[in-house]
Amino acid sequence: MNSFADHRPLSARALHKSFDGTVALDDFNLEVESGSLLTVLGPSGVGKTTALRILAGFEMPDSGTVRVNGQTVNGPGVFVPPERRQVGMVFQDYALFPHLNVGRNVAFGLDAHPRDQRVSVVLEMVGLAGFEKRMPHELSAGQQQRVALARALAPGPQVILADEPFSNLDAALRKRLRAEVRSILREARTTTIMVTHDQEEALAVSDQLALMNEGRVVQTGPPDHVYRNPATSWVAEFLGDADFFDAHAKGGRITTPFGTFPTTRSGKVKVMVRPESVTVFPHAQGVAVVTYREFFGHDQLLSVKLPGKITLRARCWPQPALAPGDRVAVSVDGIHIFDEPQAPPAPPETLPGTPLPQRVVIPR
Amino acid sequence: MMEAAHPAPRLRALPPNTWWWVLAGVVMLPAAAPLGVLAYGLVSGVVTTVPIGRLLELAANTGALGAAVTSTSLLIGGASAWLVSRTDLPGKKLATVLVLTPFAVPSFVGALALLGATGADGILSTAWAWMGGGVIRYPSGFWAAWLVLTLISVPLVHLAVAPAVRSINPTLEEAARGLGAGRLKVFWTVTLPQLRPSLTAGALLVGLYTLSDFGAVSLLRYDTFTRAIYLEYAGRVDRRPALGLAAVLAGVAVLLVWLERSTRTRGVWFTARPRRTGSPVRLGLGGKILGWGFLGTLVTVSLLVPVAVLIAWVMRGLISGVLVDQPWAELGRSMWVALLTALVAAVVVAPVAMVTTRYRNRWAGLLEGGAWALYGVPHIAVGMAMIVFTLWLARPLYQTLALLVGVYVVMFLPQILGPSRDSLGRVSPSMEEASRSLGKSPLRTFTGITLPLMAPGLLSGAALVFLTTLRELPAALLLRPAGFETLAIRVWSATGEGFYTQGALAGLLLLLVAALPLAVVTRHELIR
Repeated sequence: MNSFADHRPLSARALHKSFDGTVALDDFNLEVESGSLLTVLGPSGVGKTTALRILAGFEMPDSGTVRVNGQTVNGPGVFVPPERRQVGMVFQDYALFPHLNVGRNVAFGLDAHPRDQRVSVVLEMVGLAGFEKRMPHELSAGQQQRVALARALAPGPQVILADEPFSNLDAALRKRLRAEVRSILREARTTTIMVTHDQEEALAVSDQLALMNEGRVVQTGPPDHVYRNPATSWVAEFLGDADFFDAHAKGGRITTPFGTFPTTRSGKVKVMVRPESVTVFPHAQGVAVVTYREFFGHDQLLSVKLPGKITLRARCWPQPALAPGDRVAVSVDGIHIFDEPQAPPAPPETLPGTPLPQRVVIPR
Repeated sequence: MMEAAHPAPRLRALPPNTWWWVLAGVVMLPAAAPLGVLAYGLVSGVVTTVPIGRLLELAANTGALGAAVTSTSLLIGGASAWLVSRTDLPGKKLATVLVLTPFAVPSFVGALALLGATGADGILSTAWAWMGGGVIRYPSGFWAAWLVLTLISVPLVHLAVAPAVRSINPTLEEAARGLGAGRLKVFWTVTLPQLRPSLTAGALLVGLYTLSDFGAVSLLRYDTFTRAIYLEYAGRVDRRPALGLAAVLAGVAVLLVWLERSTRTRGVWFTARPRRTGSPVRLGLGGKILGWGFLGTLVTVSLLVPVAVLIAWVMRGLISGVLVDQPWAELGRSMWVALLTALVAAVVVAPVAMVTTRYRNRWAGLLEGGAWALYGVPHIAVGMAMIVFTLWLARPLYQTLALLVGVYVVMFLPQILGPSRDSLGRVSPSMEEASRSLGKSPLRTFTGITLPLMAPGLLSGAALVFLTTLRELPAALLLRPAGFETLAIRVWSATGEGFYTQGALAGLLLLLVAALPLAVVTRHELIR
């Protein structure tokens, strides 16, 4: 391990954890840069919460190391209990102490001396100045959430861990609050690791995204990078909409009903197309037929059937109004090629709209 | 699926939790002693030291009393539950409180009231004679025990049946009426089957109570197991016959508890579904008068007359100057034992509640079983077992206050475990984790977060244990240090020797410090 990684606010290496024979974490690796907001995203049940609880010290990994600011807190023969990790936690249910008022909740992790001052500073930061004497049950869900954040921020931890922090809020409040929380964290220059299963939330607030599946992190990077360059077909499908079909690469090309694309591979491959890169327009001799339409006002989602049992979705302008049965021409602005699952892993290729004749519309 | 890998959120806990297990295990170990001795009593042939004819006689007597008390209290308690839960009778809340209060009256106080009311000097006899009637004879034996135990058992049935009566599905009755069934037929074929689980539960509770009662049957001289155990214990050096009888009694009680528990779950299933509640049955003026007449008679006989008789005896004693021996020392001892028991129980219950709330596995199940192990086992059987146990294996503990308090704690643990777990259930484990991640050690997390949040349940549970301990008779009688006379023992011995004045004062005091607060403490549950 290089010394650079050692001074990250938090890093986890090769974590393994199983419960009664069921594997929860399988070679889990994660690093977070100072001051950034990293979101661990994955479907429910892939071990996100387990990972977070190990980082916080609430759960013991079977093997692997965790370091906080260079200090090993989990490792061979090492276990630093949660209270000595300098890791703050924001819980899904906020876990405010119901018998203490807001001020004493926030002060709970502080030493005796500059307590009151720090409490008011932190409460002001989360927009709850003057709420010291309120009891938790007198607050709205959004306010409770911010008190929980203030309480975690107060002792100035190296990292704040947040477990599905917005999942208990209704949709409208969730959107408002996540923008607020993000700016609070920015202002506090805190390093944060958040766990969620909500892709929209993850894409919207994160500096870094870590996609997790089956107990391990499968890809990390800035949200737009991950979205545009999914490492596996699973990432592509989980993050945003994607349609897949099988194709054959030969002589440096892949031929599809909507055009020919260059590739370095040969043999069977899996092709992925995102709906927003598909454009359709009515054409009497078009290769495709509309099978389904959903109208959203600002755009429409069409499902089209192409030769070779290929079905693509197209997210496009609301005009023209197309109906099932209409024949259309299809143009695709970029595809992704993945290996077939059984093939030995090779880095995936992302093919942008390229010089070769790709906007191919072949009215015969 | 990976989903299964995550423990349910309520049941997780911090890593260093071994201490709770160790503590909880140590705490529950004492429950094994009386059960072990009783089981030994059942299998070792100690039972054969009792002539078989005697066993059968006791079984017949106990069974007859149980059947009589159960059936009459079912009738009366069922009727009172129906009246306050299903009709438009005015003053239902007051009626509920009054009908349910007698359950806090210890059976030996009830027996004292009955004995003090009758006979040549009896309060009722005197009043009756004054009106020109003859002497009301001492009731004793079967009928006397039946009367006292029935009046105390009615609240048990009422409590078990009232919720079921409230949740009777009116549409079923309407459907039956619509199909042409008459009122009576609807009652037998539709209403009663809906009540059957709760009636069964009530019946088993009453059966268990009658089986376990020592105070009333011993004072009223009806020969059941409990009385026989005491007579064997008091009259002989050989402990084996008493132990054999105790083992048989405990075996029957455990069987009843098992039956009660297995019907209880079915009862819950049967009544728990949310339904439209029917509009109350309208009673005409005559019906209302009849209803209040019934409830009024019940309350008069089970509450007002007994209390009045006790007061009258105390007055009589004060006037004639007989009342010299005042039971303040006894009161002090009772309070002391009860206070110790409540304190120890509160300390002991914390780890048990932690483990059984936070974990669902075999060991937690075993621990919970341990906490409930002595539930329903008659106190006199537990007392007898502990006498034998200490004589054989723990001689230094024989007849010590520590032993008595220890036995009380184990017997009454379920009373404090329930409320403690309720309030602990409201403490989300994430609160403790939050405290840890804010830099507090496990100990400071417990004292700063868990304990304060658990305190309300702990307190109300401790109050319940305190009051129950105050009223307890048979275990105190068997296990107390020599010469250590509590208020309950005072009532019992004074009544047994015919000193009704002394008994009445101690009895009134007991009602005042134990029964009345108990009725208040459990009021919320009663009225609900």
